[in-house]
Amino acid sequence: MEQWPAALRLALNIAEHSAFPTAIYWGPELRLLYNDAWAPIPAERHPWALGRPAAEVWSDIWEVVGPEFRKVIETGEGMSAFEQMLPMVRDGVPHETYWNYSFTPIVDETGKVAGIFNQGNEVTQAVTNERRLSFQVALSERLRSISSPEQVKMEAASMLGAHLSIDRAGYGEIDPAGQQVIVRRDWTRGEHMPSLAGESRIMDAFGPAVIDTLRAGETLVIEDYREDARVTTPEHYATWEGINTRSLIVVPLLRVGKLRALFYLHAAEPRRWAPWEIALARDVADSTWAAVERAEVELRLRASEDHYRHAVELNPQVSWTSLPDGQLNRVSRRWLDWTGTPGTGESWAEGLHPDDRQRTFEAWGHCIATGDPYDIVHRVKMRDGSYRWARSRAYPRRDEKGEIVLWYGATEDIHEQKVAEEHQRLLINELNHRVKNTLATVQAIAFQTLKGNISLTEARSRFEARLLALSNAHNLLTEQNWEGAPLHRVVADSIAPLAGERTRIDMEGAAIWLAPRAALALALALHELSTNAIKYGALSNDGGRVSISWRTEGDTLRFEWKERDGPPVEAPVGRGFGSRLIERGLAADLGGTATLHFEPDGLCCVIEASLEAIQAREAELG
Amino acid sequence: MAERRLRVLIVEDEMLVAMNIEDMLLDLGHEVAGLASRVEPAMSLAREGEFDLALLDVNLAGSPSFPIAAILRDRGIPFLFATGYGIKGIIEEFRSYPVLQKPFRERDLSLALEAIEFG
Repeated sequence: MEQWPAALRLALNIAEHSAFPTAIYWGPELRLLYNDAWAPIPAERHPWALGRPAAEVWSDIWEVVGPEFRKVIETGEGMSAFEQMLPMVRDGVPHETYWNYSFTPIVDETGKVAGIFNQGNEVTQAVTNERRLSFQVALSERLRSISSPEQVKMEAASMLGAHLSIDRAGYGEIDPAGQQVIVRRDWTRGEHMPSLAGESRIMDAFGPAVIDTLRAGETLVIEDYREDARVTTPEHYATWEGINTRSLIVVPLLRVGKLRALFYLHAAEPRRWAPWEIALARDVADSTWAAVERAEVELRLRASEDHYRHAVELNPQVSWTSLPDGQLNRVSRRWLDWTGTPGTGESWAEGLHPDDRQRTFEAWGHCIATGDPYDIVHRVKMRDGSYRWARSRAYPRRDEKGEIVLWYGATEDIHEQKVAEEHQRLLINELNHRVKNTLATVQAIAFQTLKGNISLTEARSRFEARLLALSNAHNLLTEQNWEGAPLHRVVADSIAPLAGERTRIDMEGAAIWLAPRAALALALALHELSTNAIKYGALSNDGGRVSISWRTEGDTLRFEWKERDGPPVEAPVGRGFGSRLIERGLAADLGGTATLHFEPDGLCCVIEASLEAIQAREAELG
Repeated sequence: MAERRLRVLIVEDEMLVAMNIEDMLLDLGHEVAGLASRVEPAMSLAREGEFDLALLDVNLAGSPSFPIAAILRDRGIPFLFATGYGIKGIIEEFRSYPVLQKPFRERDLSLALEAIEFG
């Protein structure tokens, strides 16, 4: 040691007392000396490395450090490196390692570089952490602007694939049965690597033990399947060959303990995966999956919002919600379209018919107080001032404690239905009224027919005949929808029972429309005249004739029933039902006069009626 | 026969029915003071006619007879409705007046008249 140059001794002295990893390379062969702090750096090469030449100790990284040593020796100037990658072999395996270090020349008395003073430390952890972090930041920046779940997966796969210089990356989905993996799209580095997009594979085909790792939620790392104990049979080899992959990382994505998807990184050649690469694969898989789920939720939410908008805005009903205190907090736009008011808060009342407000408030107040479902029919005041019938209903939604959170309501336009119901009610009333009035008429006919000295047989036959006349007139009117009947039809139908004598009856007149009341009255009168003619008048002998004629004179209808060539006519002593019906009833019903003339050559009945009265449309038949 | 011979105004647009009522009243010993089948003539009879009581059909050729009822009420002349609609056909303000549901019997009419007479 005493023969050692002073410079070396000084350097050794410093190294020995330094707490920082320090080594000295001495002499032409750069033989290695180092302190205790430096000992872990050569790992398993310590203590073998002590005193050995640098080129021998560092054969694995000599490509990098050899030229650096040479340069320092030649120039006499020190150098330093930061985060320098050195592919150091540890446990027989090359590792990507990163270092900060310096080489300082040790100059002897002759001014020559006799050795190199080296200090340094490994920064692999820091460098890979930093890289992992900055990759993640870049990835999340990129994913933030993407809304499609598929696009998120594709972007993450291509970024990581490029970053790690692998051959293929992508996501595979697991089918609900958990048997198959399906790939929609993936990233590949180039033509040499086929895409798996659109393909699905039975998972067990990779080797059941391989897949068990994934199902257990553990990341699968295979450096070379041919060397991997979990891949054993030729069938499994075939599957691996089928996807052109020797080496891979697969991160399983589990939800509620069930394997749902895989994130895979494939390499065509065997590859030794660095711990930071595996960690990064896990990070990316997890954060991407979170982004995918977020994007899927957003997609569903958008679809749901779209659905809501369609359901609410395009619905013919007005949908609304109310706070538990009864204040409407949301009312669909249709209410504004209907009423011109927003409908929220106090403005709801403005859209109601004033007469319905009190009733509506009371019903709503009751429901708010009790939680009973709300169901009420009311009128809505429309923009144009008209009113329409509506039905409003609401049901409360309660929280887990049973407290009402919100009322969900809907107001439906039931105007047409309500009007139809009202119309139907009127029709039923009207029908009832008509039936009762017809019965009153029948009662009157019966009463009048049975009056006086008449045999039961005769009364029965007259009553039946009159009832039939009334019924025939009803038939005719029903045929015309109770809007009335043409005069000639009323006449023709009334004399139809006289079919045998038809050739002895003349009928002539203009086309005139009769309202129902006039048609009924005339039909009953003509029945009485016909019956009388057959029994006592012109149709009771062989040669008599009847002529029925009518015409209009200004606004008057003039109708005549004239009998000729019958038996001698005698004016009756009293007035029977027929006479009363014609002279009083018919006259009144037609708003005119009806007169019976018992002329010597035959009965003549003259009716004069105002056209306006016999054609008047009535709301109902009285 | 009735205790008192009443003079009755008949307002009825169905002539057969009117004739029947007329006969019923005569049978009961009363007198027909007038017959109207439309609102306008009935209203002038109601204003100016001399009668003790009126029998009103509710629907006169499509028009309600309530204006006639109002005149009679103002004159303090008793009246009753005869209608196929029944009580539901009577507007609220006249619901307290007697109603004969058509068709009715002579006896129903008689009881109704007595009720008015002695009620």
